[in-house]
Amino acid sequence: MHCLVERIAQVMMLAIFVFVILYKFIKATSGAPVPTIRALPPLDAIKEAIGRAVEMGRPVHHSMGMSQLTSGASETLVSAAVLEYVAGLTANTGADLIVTIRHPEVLPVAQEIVRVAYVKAGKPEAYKPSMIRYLSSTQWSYVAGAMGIMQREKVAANILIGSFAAESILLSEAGNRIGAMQIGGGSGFGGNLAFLAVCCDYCLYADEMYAARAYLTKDPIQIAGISAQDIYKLFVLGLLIIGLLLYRYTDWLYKILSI
Amino acid sequence: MMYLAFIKSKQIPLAITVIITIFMLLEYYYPEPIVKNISKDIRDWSVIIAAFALGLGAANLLRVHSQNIQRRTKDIWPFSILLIFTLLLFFGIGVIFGIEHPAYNWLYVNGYLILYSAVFSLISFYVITSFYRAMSVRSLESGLLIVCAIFSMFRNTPAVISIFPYLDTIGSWLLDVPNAGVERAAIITTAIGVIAFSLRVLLGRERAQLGE
Amino acid sequence: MTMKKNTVLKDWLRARATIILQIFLCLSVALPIIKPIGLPVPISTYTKGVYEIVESIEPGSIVLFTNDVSAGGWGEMASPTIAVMQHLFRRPVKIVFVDFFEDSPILTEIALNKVDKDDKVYGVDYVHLGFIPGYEMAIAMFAKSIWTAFPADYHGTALNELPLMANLKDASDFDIQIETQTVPAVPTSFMLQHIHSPYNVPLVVLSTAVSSPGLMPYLASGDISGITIGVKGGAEYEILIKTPGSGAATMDAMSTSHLLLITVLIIGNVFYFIKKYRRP
Repeated sequence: MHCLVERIAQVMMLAIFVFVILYKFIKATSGAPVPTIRALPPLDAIKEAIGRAVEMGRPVHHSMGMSQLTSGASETLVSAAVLEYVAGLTANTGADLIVTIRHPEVLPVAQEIVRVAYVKAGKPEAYKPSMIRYLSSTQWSYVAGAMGIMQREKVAANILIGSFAAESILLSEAGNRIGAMQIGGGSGFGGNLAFLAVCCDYCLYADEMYAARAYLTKDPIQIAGISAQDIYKLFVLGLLIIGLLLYRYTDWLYKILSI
Repeated sequence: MMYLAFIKSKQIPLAITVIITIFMLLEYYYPEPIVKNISKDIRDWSVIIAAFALGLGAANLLRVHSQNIQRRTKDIWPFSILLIFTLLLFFGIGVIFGIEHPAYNWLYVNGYLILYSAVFSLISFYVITSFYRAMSVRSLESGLLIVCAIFSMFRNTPAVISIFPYLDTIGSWLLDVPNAGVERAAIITTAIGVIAFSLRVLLGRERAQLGE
Repeated sequence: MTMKKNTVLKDWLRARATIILQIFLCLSVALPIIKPIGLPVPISTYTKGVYEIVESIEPGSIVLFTNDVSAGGWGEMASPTIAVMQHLFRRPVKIVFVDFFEDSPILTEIALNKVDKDDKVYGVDYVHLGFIPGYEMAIAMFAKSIWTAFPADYHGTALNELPLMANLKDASDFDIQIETQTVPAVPTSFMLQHIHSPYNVPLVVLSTAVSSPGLMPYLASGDISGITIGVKGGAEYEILIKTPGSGAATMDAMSTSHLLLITVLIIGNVFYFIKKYRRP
């Protein structure tokens, strides 16, 4: 009985969220005014970082993070969205781009993103498959390879937006040692966001990462999705407060619901 | 020509994503045998694809490093030879003798495990330099961060907490109360973000995985 | 002349501060390991909680031990993994070892070779199934159908030749799960989502120190029944089961290195404030 109530509650919560998102999407496509996302300095800084790389004549390094497409895909796809933006900028400015990959199934995705970005910029001949480097599937082998690339090539900009674990401190410190401008971002799972926050010049925290694509593309549908998320967060917060008050002041109801 | 265009279009991967998601969601809320059987097959396929991905990675490594050796890429080609030799050594011994063989075990424990641990241990050196260089009380927030960091480190210092047990109490309180609260908030908001992101993927509004 | 010497010395030290700190760090870790001091190690409530959970597992219960340790994390997790494994082997329970990370099967075998199995028979009292690729998908597959995920064990023996596996069909057949968690590819949330929640299998996590803050909400809500934290948790567990091992041996180094880090943090800030408020 308890299991059934739980499942029904989950379906209702999901249905409410889907309804809110679809409502926002429909409003966005019908030409209603689009809400604005507050400034996200780490994403604004990407342009500055790439400009700096062009001036110094040194490459830009973008890491796709530690996750795959079958596990932790959302963070990988956020990194892919940022890569699309970064590749567009490097194509337009002529900066060298190095993308390091940990999982082989992410490799064709990254290659396609960068290739399409260079084609869209009108510079298909500037795209080289060697820009995207699969290093190793194992965590520390990847880190050793990425640190080696950063230090040998003396990257001027180091973009670490995605899923990172303990290697975040090695990657960001390696960037610090060569004087690279660093932009980090993580979802906050596993507590390794703290390393990026301390060592990077700019950092996206938790949910800010999922707003990256909306912020960079200014697509009304994407922004509508972020707006729906914020509304739902307030709804969840309201439920939490109501639940807390009920738990505190209505013991009898809690006992019934616990059966 | 129309068929070729359809095959090359990005609609097929999107359709596959939607269909599979529907079955996986349906299995959770409506676990009838027909849905369960289809979901089981989907899971089996994904495990097989994951296994093939490992092979893809090895093939890519061989290709890239063979090119480095061929072109005598400066500073890199000797290490490319070492990489290919090690890759073939592990592969050969694993395939011919099996991964339980003492030779494979020896290679793993005395080569891979030790090198891996050595790279992992670099963290400590980088942490100490970042502590010295970056962890300064530049603002109220960074000051609070440093105070919390100190109490957390005291909690992990057995000699100190045996003399001053209240340091363990403070460190544990920081872990159990403010940390748990913030992590809870991060988990909830990130989960909402992931659901929204997944919905955008299902509706075709997020196409990064298709290279768009 | 003296002032010039002092300035030269200061500049020399400043330029080499990083290397000097790293040498101190090496010494603070290496010296207590070479020459142990024997500093006390109090037992934390977290470790005590896990010990009591393992101690109270009903005789005849079947324990699922999922080892998801990477080769790099083995330095930290060897101690709690081996200690908890040893405790389980001393209890009248049956254990099924499964790995969801590619580095883990050999590490599980290394740990199994180190523990005293107390006359337990392979195939009857414990089984090592090995590794299945796919991370989250593999966990979901295993939870729903063990025999589909693993037609044979790590040594290639078919499951129908292992008496322990005869009645194990899915995750609901396990009485408790103990997970070692180091890699982000296999986070605890996958275990909660695919094994604990649907099948009500209590979960105990042997966690790294860096991952433990993220698991506290689950511990507070009761989703995780117990947690050990890093190598210190492992050392405490070794003391509780009266079998000191690699964890207990590193506690002196843990104390000295942490004290060094705290000192560096404080000194760094003192220099920062001196520089900031020094009269020009």
